[in-house]
Amino acid sequence: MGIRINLDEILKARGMTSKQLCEKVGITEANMSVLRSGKAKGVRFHTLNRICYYLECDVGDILFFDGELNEEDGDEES
Amino acid sequence: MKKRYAWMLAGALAGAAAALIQSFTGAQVMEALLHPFTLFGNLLRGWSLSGAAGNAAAWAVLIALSLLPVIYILLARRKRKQAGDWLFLLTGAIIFGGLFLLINPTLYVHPALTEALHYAPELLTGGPVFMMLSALLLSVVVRWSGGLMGMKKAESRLIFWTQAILTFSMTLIVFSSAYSLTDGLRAAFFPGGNTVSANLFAAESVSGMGADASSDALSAWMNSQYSDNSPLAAMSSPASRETSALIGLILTAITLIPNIFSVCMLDAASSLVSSIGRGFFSEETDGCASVLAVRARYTMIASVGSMAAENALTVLLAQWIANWNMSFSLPLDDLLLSCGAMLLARLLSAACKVKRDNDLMI
Repeated sequence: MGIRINLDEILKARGMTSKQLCEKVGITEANMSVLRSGKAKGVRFHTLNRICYYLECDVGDILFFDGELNEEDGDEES
Repeated sequence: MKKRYAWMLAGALAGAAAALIQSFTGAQVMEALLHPFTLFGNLLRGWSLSGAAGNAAAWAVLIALSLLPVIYILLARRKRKQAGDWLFLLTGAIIFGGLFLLINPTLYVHPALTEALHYAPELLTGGPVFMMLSALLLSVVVRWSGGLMGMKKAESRLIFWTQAILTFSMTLIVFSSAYSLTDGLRAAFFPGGNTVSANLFAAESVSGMGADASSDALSAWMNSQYSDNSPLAAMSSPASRETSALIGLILTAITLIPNIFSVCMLDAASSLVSSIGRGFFSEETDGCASVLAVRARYTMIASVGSMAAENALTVLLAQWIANWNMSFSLPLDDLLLSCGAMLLARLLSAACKVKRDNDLMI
């Protein structure tokens, strides 16, 4: 995986649903699902900023490195 | 059945019918198509020679028809002025000149040519008619092409016209191919006809038409109408009529191969244009672009391969071909078209990938 998302646990800890977070951050539930499943190619600073603000946490609480190198998401041309 | 396939089927049937009618009845297809214009010219000439009133009526019709583009512009100017509008005034003048020549056709050709009856109807009527049509087409293209290029609202219109042109091109290629194949088959297996194809030199010249069909089907088809009139035609080689016709059929078949690929490529292009209409960078567009790239590549190979085979065979079989009007060519226009299609497909695929990646940026 490489970079993992820890959003579910933070949401649980804050007692907030995914739908509520979507409304506050301003992204669709489909995009939130992509983010939570780890299929996202990237997260904009703007989105990250709002998630951290509304969940009252640090970036490191949401994203963490699992020690593996993920080749799948690399540039297909290279 | 998709609309464009219905058009292609109609084109194939019409091409085969045109070849058979021309071969067995002696009717000139081009002459038949131009016949209404010839009648119109004759009618106005008859009026103008009938007396002062008739002459005035003929002039009134002539001027009224010439003013049509100008009237259109006067009406259109109320809405929006366009840079190409001035061209419609010039088109009016060209229509006037064309109609005048339609009424007095001997004014623009050498009198000796009018004696060659075989040439006369196409040349005398076709000249002014095609002059007017091409001028009108130029005006239309200049007036609307700019709008199609830049306007957001014009996207659906651009797609509509692109598809219309693609369907027209496919129909014309199929028409031309069916014409040449039917004519080649008839000349090879039923050499008893009494017209163009029955001529000793027709089959080979028809094969030349097939070669050109993918790039310029209409003009090639028109040229074939006159192909048996070469002054060199009298200098026949010792080849038999049947052998020449059979070789002509083989060359026709070879030169028609790129047409099949061209039609397949245009079909893929038409699907791509449709999918662009539904969504520029959709998965469907990506798929259509891939199909287009593959077909463009095969068209390129078929075009060059067929031309190489035809050129080599023409040299090898020259002594058995009873036609001195041979030609050799390179399919540069097919190459350019295929390269353009491949480049477009590559560009669209890359854009679709960027879109997919962008969709996964949260």
